[in-house]
Amino acid sequence: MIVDNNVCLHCGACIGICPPNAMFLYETSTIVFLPHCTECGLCAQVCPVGAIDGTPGEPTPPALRKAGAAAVSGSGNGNGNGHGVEAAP
Amino acid sequence: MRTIETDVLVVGAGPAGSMAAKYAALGGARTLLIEKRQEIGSPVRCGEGVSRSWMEECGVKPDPRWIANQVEGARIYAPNGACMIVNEKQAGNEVGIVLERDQFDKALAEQAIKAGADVLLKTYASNITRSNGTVTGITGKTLGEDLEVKAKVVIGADGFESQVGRWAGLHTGLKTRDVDATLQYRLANIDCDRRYCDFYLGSIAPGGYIWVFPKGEDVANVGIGVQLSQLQGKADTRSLLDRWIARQPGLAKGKPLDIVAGAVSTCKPLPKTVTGGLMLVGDAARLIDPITGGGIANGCISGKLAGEVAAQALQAGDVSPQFLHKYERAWRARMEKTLLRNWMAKEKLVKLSDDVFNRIIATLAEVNLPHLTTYTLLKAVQEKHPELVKELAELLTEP
Ligand SMILES: Cc1cc2nc3c(=O)[nH]c(=O)nc-3n(C[C@H](O)[C@H](O)[C@H](O)COP(=O)(O)OP(=O)(O)OC[C@H]3O[C@@H](n4cnc5c(N)ncnc54)[C@H](O)[C@@H]3O)c2cc1C
Ligand code: SF4
Ligand code: SF4
Repeated sequence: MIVDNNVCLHCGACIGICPPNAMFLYETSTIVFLPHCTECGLCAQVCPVGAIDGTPGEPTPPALRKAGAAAVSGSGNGNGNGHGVEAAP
Repeated sequence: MRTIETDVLVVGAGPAGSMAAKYAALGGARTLLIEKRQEIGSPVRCGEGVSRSWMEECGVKPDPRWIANQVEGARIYAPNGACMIVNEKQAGNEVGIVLERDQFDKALAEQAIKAGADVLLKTYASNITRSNGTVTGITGKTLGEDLEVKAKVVIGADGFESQVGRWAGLHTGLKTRDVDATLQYRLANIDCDRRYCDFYLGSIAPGGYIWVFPKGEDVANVGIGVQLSQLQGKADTRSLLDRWIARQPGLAKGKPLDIVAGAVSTCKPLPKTVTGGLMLVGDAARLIDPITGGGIANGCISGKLAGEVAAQALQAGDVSPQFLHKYERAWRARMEKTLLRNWMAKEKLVKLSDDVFNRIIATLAEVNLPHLTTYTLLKAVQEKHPELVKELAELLTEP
């Protein structure tokens, strides 16, 4: 799963439907994927403008996931239930 | 790291969040409203159609500043072009309003501020904090600086994204048949009739509809909602809307002033919207009307109810799930029955063929119903075409 930020309208549709809540709209302008993305492909399906590339089962590049975790972990503190944005392994 | 202590923290300054903050502050609670955008109400992510019926209840007085247009009614178009006109009186409202949503959201936030709420912009929550299973605040950032807010009650008003609730373990996940992907252009230089909000049904928008809500003489919000389970290819939603607009002579010549994407939930009421220290309101609680996809009214009403309960909980010194459950009982009493009925109706509507839509609209265009509800509509269809509503019998059991 890869978001093309040239196409993305930052509407949050993908975030709201992501079953494991593995996305985050960081600073209102960058969608990031978290390590617990299951590659289900729903975010790509819902995106009204087709900004997300990736078919079910196609892995999100590890670098992107790591970047996602790093982007939000600065403030996360691990008190959530695993569905939050705390840094994951 | 900045640390703030407050009584009530509201995450998200949409209509639901501002209402919650207003009523919490009016109830005497120290209230903080945080919003991740730099400007409340902008960018607009909405068709901007709303009725007036709920406004008084929420202390909202119609104001020219946020009214773009007042309509007499709605026109509902069958796939074959036949049209049924519903005037607002039949629907039990005075007149419908097409909003300036950016101004509307700001006006509601102003009400919260006047009531005493504090506001932080460009401030987001990226996680919740908890102690013994009770939500005790959030962590996040404010203008780039690490932030921790300690609050006795948190109200999740973070819209469709609905992450605060999920971080706290509330199940707000949606089935693909209970979500519509949406796309809208504000088109300028078009032909439209500013007296009506128009709805187009059928396979042009599988499981949803296309809307044209006039903002004025020659500008309208033209958008589409499509059921997620009926979407196949990449950017299907956009292709469906673009293709439809291209076939409408009065619209095809228009050019966009803005483009808006998003999603709306069309699910049945959630089993749980409250946990220790946390209440969910508006879209975050999935309180959108499953038939119309409209969520402003229910957002405001639920926000008000949650704000009031938050203030009461603080006065009672009890933020247990049991106390906060008062909020859940209140929104259920106010809107659950309608939401459930409309969800059941939606489940049937999404399966109807163009042919059936044509016949239903033709029937309804003939009868003049004094009072329009899901029930009276179905009853009218049943009289002429019992076969069409056979499937809907369960919705016809009680008025
Ligand atoms: C294309 C489209 C058309 C629509 N048309 C209509 C219509 O015509 N009529 C109608 O009644 N409804 C319509 N709706 C639905 C309506 O827009 C919503 O129901 C309404 O906005 C809900 O209000 P809310 O306050 O619950 O959420 P929102 O208005 O979505 O507000 C949520 C706020 O929370 C903020 N936020 C989110 N996460 C965080 C975080 N982590 N930290 C801080 N802030 C955060 C967001 O930036 C946002 O400002 C439409 C929706 C879409 C997508
Ligand atoms: S659904 Fe598409 S446009 Fe909307 S935020 Fe996600 S990637 Fe961006
Ligand atoms: S592929 Fe599925 S799990 Fe991964 S981010 Fe998209 S919706 Fe979430």
